[in-house]
Amino acid sequence: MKGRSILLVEDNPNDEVLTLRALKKNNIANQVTVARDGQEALDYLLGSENNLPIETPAVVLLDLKLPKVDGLEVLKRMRANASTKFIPVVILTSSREDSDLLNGYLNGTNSYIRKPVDFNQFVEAVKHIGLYWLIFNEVPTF
Amino acid sequence: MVLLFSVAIVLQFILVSATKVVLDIEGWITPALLSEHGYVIGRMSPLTALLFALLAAAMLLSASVDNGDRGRDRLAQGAAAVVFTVSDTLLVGYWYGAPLLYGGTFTPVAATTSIAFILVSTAFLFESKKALLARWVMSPSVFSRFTRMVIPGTMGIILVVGWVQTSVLTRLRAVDQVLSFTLSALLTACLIGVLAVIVARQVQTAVTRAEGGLRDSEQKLRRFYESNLQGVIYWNMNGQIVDANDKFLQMVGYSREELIAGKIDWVNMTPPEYRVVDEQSVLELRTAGANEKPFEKVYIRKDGTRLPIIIAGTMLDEARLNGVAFVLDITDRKQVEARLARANRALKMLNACNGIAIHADNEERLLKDTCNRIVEVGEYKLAWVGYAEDDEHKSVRPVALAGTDGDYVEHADISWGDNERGRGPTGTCIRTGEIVINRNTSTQLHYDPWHSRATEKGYVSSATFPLCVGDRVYGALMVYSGISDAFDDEETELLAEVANDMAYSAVALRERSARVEAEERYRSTLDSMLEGCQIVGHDFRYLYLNDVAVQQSHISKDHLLGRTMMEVYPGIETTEMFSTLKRCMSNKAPGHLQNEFVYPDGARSWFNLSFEPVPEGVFILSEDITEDRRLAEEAKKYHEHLEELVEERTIELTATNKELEAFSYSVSHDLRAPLRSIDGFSLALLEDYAPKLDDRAKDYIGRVRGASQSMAVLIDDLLQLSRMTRRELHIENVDLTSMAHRVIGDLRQGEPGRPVEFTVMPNLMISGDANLLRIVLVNLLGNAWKFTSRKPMARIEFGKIQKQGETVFIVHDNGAGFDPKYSDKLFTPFQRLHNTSEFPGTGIGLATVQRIVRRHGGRVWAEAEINEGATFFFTLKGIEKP
Repeated sequence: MKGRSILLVEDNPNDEVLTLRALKKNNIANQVTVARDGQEALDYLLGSENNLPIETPAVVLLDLKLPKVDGLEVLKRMRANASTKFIPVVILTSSREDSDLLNGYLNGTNSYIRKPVDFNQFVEAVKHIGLYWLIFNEVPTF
Repeated sequence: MVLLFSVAIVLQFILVSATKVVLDIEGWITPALLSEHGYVIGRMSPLTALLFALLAAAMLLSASVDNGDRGRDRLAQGAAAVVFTVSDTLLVGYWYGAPLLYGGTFTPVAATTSIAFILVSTAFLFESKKALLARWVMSPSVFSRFTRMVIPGTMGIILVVGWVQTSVLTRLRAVDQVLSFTLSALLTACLIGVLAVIVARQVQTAVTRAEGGLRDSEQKLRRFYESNLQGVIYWNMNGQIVDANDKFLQMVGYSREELIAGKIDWVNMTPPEYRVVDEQSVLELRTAGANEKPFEKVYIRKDGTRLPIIIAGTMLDEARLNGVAFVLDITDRKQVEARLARANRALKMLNACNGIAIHADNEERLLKDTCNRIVEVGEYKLAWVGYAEDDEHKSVRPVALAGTDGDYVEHADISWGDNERGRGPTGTCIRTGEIVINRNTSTQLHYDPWHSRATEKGYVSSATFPLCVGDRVYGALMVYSGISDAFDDEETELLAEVANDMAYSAVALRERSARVEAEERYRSTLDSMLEGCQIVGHDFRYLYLNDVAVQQSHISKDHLLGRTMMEVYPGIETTEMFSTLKRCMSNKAPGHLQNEFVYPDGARSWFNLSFEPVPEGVFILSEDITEDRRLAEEAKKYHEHLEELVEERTIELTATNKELEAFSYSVSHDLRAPLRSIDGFSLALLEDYAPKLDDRAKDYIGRVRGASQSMAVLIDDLLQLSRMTRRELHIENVDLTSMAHRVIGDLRQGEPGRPVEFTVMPNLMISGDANLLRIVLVNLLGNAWKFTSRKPMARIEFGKIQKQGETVFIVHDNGAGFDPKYSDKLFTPFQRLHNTSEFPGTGIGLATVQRIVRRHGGRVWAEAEINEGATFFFTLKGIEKP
């Protein structure tokens, strides 16, 4: 399964490793770019002062609690920008707070998944994410 | 004594005259010593002594003369006459130079002594009590006139003859004694002849005149008698009236036949009380022959009535047995006099009563005093006042009485209604308001019920006067007189005035006492009021203060009363309070003011003041509201502070909530992340290094994973619990029945094939937060589901009961139950009553349930026995829907 890349926005290195492991276990071979804070993610997606946007990912796996710019802010900026407006965003977070869920969907997330503590369940979740967003889902292209 | 002395003198006189022996009385009673020392012992003539004795006897007799005892008087007069005659003789002896006459053979009587005796005896004759002799001599009768002329005449003859004898004849020494005697006898005869002629002429004239006068007066009397202008009677001392003119007969009501028959007796016709006057008159007639002045007396007519007359009599004969009298009817005059006297008394009574009204201080006193004065000064028999009562019998209540017989009124039982006992003068007077006069009660028919008693008491006439206030008659004054035909117009008018004055004064006093009573009542009310009450006069002088007002003034009562506000509180004129007071006084309109009063010592108090104009000035009601204001201020401050406090607390609470939210957020994110790492890497270890790990190592890693996973559940439950307290409630109508069915449906899905009998009461509607109530049901039904897992036939019921007017929801199961002694620990977070290996769980569920129920204003509790199932009860304050 080679194709467009996945942007993983995750500040926790353990989670990063585990997420990558889960993707690998599900044989998702798409390139995974990891942004370790919100700013990095925005820079990657929208480009910075000096650089153009690097790539348009197939899906963004977005943690909410992030250093510098938090996940919701990243989502808002993405949705405000035409080039990133339709990129599927899956919020992948530890939180199950109602406010987080609500704000996530209000700001245009495509999916909200709580990371289960049981790694097997996590792997299962990642499998579904990969299948759905990378294979079945269609998005408008420019 | 006088008698003995006189006898002794007479004896001596006889003895001396007959035997020439001197008894020498002086010698007997004088000590011999005196004459031996040469003192001269005077001797009085026995004749002088005798005369003295006679005079003394005359005086003593005269002094002891009683009325009507003529014998002694005559004796006294005779003795005096003897003294007079003897002393005359003695004097003549001196005059004629005949010692035998004045001395005889013993001690002579001095000439001066003789003169003295003449004077003293004459004086006695005229001055003694009756002076019969003198009066007889001085009387106008012919005999007396004769006597009056003869006595001085004979005296004169004696003097003249004596003078001739001693002065002329004695000088003619040549003439011998015979010649001298002859000449004296001739002279005496001549003088007596002259005197006789004079006296005879005088007597002749007197007699002639008397006879002419008598005839004349008889004629006049006759004419007078016949003219019938006055009553003329001829009477005698036997009491008979022998003749009378027609006028007299008409006056006394007898006929001429009765007169002729001798049936008219002036003694019998005279009432007993006039007998004395009659006797005096008779005495006068007997002695003087006529009444000096006419006098008043009364004759009783034939019909028994009394005839007041004025009468004067004179005797017609020398024997003074028959007389004539003139009688004048003075009935009219007497009546006028009586009326005048009555009017006078009434006037005096009116004056006397005037004083009462001024001094009386109560109604009862006034009425009583007035009645007393009417009876005492007005000389009435009885006076009483009755008030008309508005009772059933319309009775007349006696309220004051004066006079002889009070019980007459007491038993009179008078009414003012139009009935038998109300038709008397009192009832009539009160009913009609008119004065009722009964000149003679015996002739009044409607007086009947009281007639006999009134007669018995001697009430002959009566007058009744209405007592009015305005047009209303409230009582009557009754006056009773003992004489008939009393209460003529003048008298009635005066009494009416007394009655009116009394009525007016009584009402005034009654009103005054009512006023005083009311005043007293108001005053005591004011005194006991909790507000300050004071009355300030028009000159701003304190007239009245109750205790509270005195307290509020900070000054003693003595220093307030009678002083002005300006004196007590200098500068008060400039305060708002004072100007309000002044306005109230001048506009005569009430005023109100809430004002802070500053005392002279700087103290301050707030007052609620009300000003009310009253006749005396202004009434001030003052309420000290200092404390009220202080409390209100404090309450206001406290209130403001409270809001501040609440605001602060709200801010604090909001901050805390925010913090808590942030904390929860952080917990949910950050606490779970390491757990995921532990679980994830443990699994990675198992997967990647499985060949290198023995079974024990794999078991250990499995335990690490289990622990991390259960911790994740714990964290989730904790977060849910904390959310329960923070979440805002969204109240809506909730259908618990269908909600319970859904929850059980979920549970069945989780464990399909478990035989559970689930019963839910239909229509369990309640208003509350649906999400939270779902959590309650999830927990309670989940517990039931969980704890019945070991039962071959699980039974779960959900419903409601009414307990003490409250709706209680019940979740009952037939599961494991629990020891009831731990039931109070059930709802404590993390408290578990079962082993996790037996029944899994965190011990957060029931704590969450309790929080949610409490947030809905309800309670939750449980009953159970071990292995006997458990029942959970909860109430919700939300409005239950039918």
